[in-house]
Amino acid sequence: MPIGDLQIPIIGKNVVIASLVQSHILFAAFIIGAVLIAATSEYLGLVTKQPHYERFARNLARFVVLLFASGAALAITFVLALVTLFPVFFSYLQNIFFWVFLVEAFMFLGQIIIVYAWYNVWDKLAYRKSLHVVFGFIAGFFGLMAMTMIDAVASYMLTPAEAPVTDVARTFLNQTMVPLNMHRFVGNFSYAGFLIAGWGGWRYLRSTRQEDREYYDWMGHFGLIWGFGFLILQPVIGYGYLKGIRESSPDAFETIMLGEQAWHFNVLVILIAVMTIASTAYFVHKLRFALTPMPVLRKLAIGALGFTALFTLLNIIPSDADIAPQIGLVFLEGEGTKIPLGAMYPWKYIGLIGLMLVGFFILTLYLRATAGGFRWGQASRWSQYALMACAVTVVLTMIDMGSTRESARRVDHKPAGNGGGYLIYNCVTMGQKVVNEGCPAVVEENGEKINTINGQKVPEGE
Amino acid sequence: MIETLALLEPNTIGVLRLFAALGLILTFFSGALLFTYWISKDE
Repeated sequence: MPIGDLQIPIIGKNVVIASLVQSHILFAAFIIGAVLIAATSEYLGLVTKQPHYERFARNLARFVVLLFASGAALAITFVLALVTLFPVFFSYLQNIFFWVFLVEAFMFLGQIIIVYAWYNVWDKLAYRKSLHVVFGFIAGFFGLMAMTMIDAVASYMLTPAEAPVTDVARTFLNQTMVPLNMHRFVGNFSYAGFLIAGWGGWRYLRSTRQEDREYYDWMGHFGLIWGFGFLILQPVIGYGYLKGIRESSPDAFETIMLGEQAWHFNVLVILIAVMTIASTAYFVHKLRFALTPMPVLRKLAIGALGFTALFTLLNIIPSDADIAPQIGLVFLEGEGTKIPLGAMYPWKYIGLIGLMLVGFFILTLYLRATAGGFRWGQASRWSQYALMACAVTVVLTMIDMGSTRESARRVDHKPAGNGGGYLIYNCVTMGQKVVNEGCPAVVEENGEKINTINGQKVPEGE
Repeated sequence: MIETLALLEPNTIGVLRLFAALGLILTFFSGALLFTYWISKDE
């Protein structure tokens, strides 16, 4: 029975898949990060006996339980859309990653069961708190494993292993699987942390009771430590991921770093600038409320804020005047007009490494002050706006980075079909056709070439 | 309209679809977040 090639009017089928997957990821990443942050907070509550850790962990667990419905509904809708709109491609994926999808489904199931159990036995296990904390970490572990499985698929689509697809280990551990997984592992904490901080900021501004103001002020601070702390690890992990893409799929690397999709990184550095400057400014402000006055620490923090602004500015400078030709953002002679301070080497390296070092420095100062305690409930309005700005910005960063990875396979919109490019790099086109030339899954057996993606013999001369 | 869109060059239609996807993602995300907040706020 022939399979129809369904088209979606006006927006096209790629937009349908992108919007469903990206929305799902925004929930899934938050749930994984939030479960682990909540479990850690519950543990900190157990150790320190400070009640806000317990209150925070329980409220976050309840929110995650409720949010699970939306995340799961989007995931199922996405799979349905993929089967309907890309049936041939999905059948190839299912063949290659049968075990991976199966394990992922069970990890997802395990995560649901344990998250619900974790929240529901909160009072029942009140006197066996250590056991209850373990529930939270196991739920987080299941979430991480589900993410690991889908990362194998996502990374394979961009950097297919140079091996037959029947080589399960090499297909699973393809060239960018580990860096992508690390990038997302760290990203989950940062993303969830910034969203928690933003929520804390919003609730702080809406609260009238002093007790609530103190709690939400603390929540903003706690979320930001997770958000910013993990954000500053991302440049070096992201660099490792990009290095993997450059070595395995150089044309895709060119497309996202220098080609027509390079504007994604211009947007990224602007978003990073907003997050790092807002976070550092928040830290500087908060140091005023340290229980033990720390004037020297605060002066150092102000210096760090200046360096953060300097390094982020260095990152924002584009390499040439051809910024985003798609929307007419081309100045002077476009690509011909080079901007010396925008070159990757040495300026972007200086900018990124500098940003990380200053980030570690300010975080160390802030954690030092945190150990002594703060006066809660006295933060200014603008410091809470900074937290909310971080929350909005981190969502846009996630969308921008997801779009970058998926656009990398559209090298010059070739080969043609459904907007052009590949679904599996060099192996399956956007039009769901298997190509043999350059596909690393083609192997030679008994003197004849076989494309292991579809199991077909490669015609003579290809 | 569908024919007109099909005739546009990939970059032009790409920009339109990029913003369409961005709008849809933000709508789904904020809609589900607000819904979750609404069902949980009285607890």
